[in-house]
Amino acid sequence: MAKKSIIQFPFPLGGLDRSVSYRAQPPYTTTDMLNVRAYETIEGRARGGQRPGLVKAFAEELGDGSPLRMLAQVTSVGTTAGGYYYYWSDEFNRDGSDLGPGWNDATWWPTLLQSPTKIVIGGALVERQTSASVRDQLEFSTAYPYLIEVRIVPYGGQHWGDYWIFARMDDDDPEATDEGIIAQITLTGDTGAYSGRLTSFSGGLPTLYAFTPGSTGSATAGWFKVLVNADNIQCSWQDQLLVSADIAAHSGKRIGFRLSTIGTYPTGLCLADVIRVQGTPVGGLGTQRRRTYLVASAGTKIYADRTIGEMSEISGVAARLSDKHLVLAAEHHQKLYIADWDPPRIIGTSGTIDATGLQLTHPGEVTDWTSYGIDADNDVVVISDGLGLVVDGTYQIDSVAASMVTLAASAGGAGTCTYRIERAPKVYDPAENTVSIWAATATQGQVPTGCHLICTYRDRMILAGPDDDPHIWFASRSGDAYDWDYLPEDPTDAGRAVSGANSDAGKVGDVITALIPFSDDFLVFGCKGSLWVMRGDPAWGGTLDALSYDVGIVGAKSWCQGPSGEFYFLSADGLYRLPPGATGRPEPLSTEKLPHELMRLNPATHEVLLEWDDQQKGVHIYLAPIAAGAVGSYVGLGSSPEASPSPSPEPQ
Amino acid sequence: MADNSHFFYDVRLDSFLPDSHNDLHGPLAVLNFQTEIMEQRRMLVGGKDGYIRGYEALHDTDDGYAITSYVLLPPVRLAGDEYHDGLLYELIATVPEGSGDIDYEVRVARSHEEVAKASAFLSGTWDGEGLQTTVRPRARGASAVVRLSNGEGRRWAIEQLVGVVRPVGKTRVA
Repeated sequence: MAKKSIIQFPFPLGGLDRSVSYRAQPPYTTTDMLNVRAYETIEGRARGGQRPGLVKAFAEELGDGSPLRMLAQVTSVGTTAGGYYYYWSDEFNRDGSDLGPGWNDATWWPTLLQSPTKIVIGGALVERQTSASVRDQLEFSTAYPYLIEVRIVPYGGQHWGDYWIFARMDDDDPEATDEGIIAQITLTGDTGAYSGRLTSFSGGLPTLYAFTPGSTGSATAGWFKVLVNADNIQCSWQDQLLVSADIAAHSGKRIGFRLSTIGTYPTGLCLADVIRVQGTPVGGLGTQRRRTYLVASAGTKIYADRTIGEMSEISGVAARLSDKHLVLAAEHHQKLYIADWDPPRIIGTSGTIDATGLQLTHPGEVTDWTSYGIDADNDVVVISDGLGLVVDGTYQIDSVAASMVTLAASAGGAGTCTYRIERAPKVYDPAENTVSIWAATATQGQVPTGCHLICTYRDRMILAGPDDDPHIWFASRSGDAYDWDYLPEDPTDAGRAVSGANSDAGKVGDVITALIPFSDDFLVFGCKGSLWVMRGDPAWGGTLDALSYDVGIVGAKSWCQGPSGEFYFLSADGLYRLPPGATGRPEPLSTEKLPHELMRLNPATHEVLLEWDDQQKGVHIYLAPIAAGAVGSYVGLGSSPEASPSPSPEPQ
Repeated sequence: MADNSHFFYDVRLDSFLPDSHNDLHGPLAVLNFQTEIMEQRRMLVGGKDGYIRGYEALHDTDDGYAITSYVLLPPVRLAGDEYHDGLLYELIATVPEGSGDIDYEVRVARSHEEVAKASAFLSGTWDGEGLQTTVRPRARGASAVVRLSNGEGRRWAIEQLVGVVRPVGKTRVA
């Protein structure tokens, strides 16, 4: 009888491989897996396990539940007292069961009510016998509103008990049951049901304010918040206001927290992984001047995280973004420039401008301008081929009536023209928290409209990919996003605006589908079936060379940059990597392992998105189906229902 | 609502790992958010339902939706060659501390192709941490695979899985 032997069943760290016969399956690979990672999520070791879960990064529902169409960021530097902010957080990112320096056990908390719990320290669950803790004094000002937040995490798909925030405790003798407030939320089970109360203590006497109970529908992670605004306290959970109460004054500002499972420990655990405070520094000034804002769009509305961790609609502005497709943006000089576009509302070749230069009509063709959905706050009129006194250009709209469109500025005088009315690109100014139409400075040309693609390169704004001329690119003046004058007085001006139509580099020889800038060194034009690279400055000896005549990029965000300067992108035949510096040919990554997957994806039916993930050390390749009819067009690749035969703004 | 199929490319291991998301989670927009606030610094995904989400290692579910996770471990030849059958006597698993339950299936067949599509010969759940009680399939075949999946609504991991085998004769047609 043959001897027994030991065999290993290793986790397939090499992932999915469907390239060869079953009998020749490469070692450490598999034919089937789903939602797993080689590096598991418990200790981060390469031994295999379930992937990380998705959780709301912000509790707010944007666009009344409409799809997200833009995610972008912009950094602003505060210059006034109101522009500074205070921010402190603790993610308990250390080993051991000690909360670490700055934390003290709340010895005033009744011993009988002390209970063991676990918090997440250094990524692992760590047991603590003392569940109530107080933080050393933080340097935020009580003269301004401040926000204390604890992120509560379910365990095993459920919540298990009470979560507490202490605040306004005496600075020298922090005992919340003597002077201060205690906000307590109770979360148990998997239904998302919550209840709780706010208790204000003055001289040891409590005053209770009950929370409005409710349910979020399921046990999900979220932020338990206490907003202190003078003597008004607002408590909220996952964006639901629990209570708003005007309470007695307190002089202190010490904070703390407590977790307590209800009769289930250790089967059930109360988990929290972050506590943070934000407000204004003492005196209104501080050292944290730089702030990076997240800017998002959904349902045409535009949002920013003006308060850290909260997305709020940018109110008081009429500007909106398209909700029909992915919208790209790029930051430049502390502003976010947004390539907002949609197919034109209307195109005409024999429009008429009156003697004032303000009124556009189209006799015999347009009887009711209001029927085209023209939006004065979001659209512009692009005039070309002007005859008579008409001056070509891009004009904002003052008003729309059935009989005419009234321009916000005169287009010269009486005459005829070709015109196109379409959505204008936008600019978000975080310093003012405003969104407006991105318009060129007077006499400095016109910001190109209809462009799907945008990036920053060599201190210029680059736009590309309009439906009517998908090979062309446009670059603003270096350092000035509002100067698009391609023919300045000094033609040798190296900083001048330039486009593919009037530069030495010229147009790209294929339909541009993606713009990929790398520092000031080079700009890659991803095209339908080829790759091109611009090296150097487009107005000063820059060159445009082909990297590949075979490999292109599927969509506007079907690429991402890796940590070493390399680029990953999805072509019609799979995933590729472009080495740092774009010095070599694109290297195929998926074709040898996945001969069928990731092939010939149609961006008209799928939103094909790539993004680098710092935490998981890899590239996410998202292929989300798009609802039928939801997309306007993607250059050359998808349906192009309203592609215009009309020319784009001609360089001046 | 059907899930969406995606892929993750692990740069460290040059490996492709298929994922699925609830259709509501999309995503339809993504951003590697590089902010000075470290706890906010991560990749963000914009969903079809108006929410912005991110991945968190601690989280067992996709924002309340159970994650269906499984893996077919690489097939093994029970007799060590492609001519003989083997008998899988025992399976011994070691589950890391902190892991949720793991469902397992043992499959045996005459070839690697058959075993990839075979139904379970034996199944069960490892519901503790550390070394698990030995499973004794006593399953005969030329090829064997073990399929692991999440046995409850919690994240899981596997430290080690070994088997005890013995050759038993030529592979038979039926």
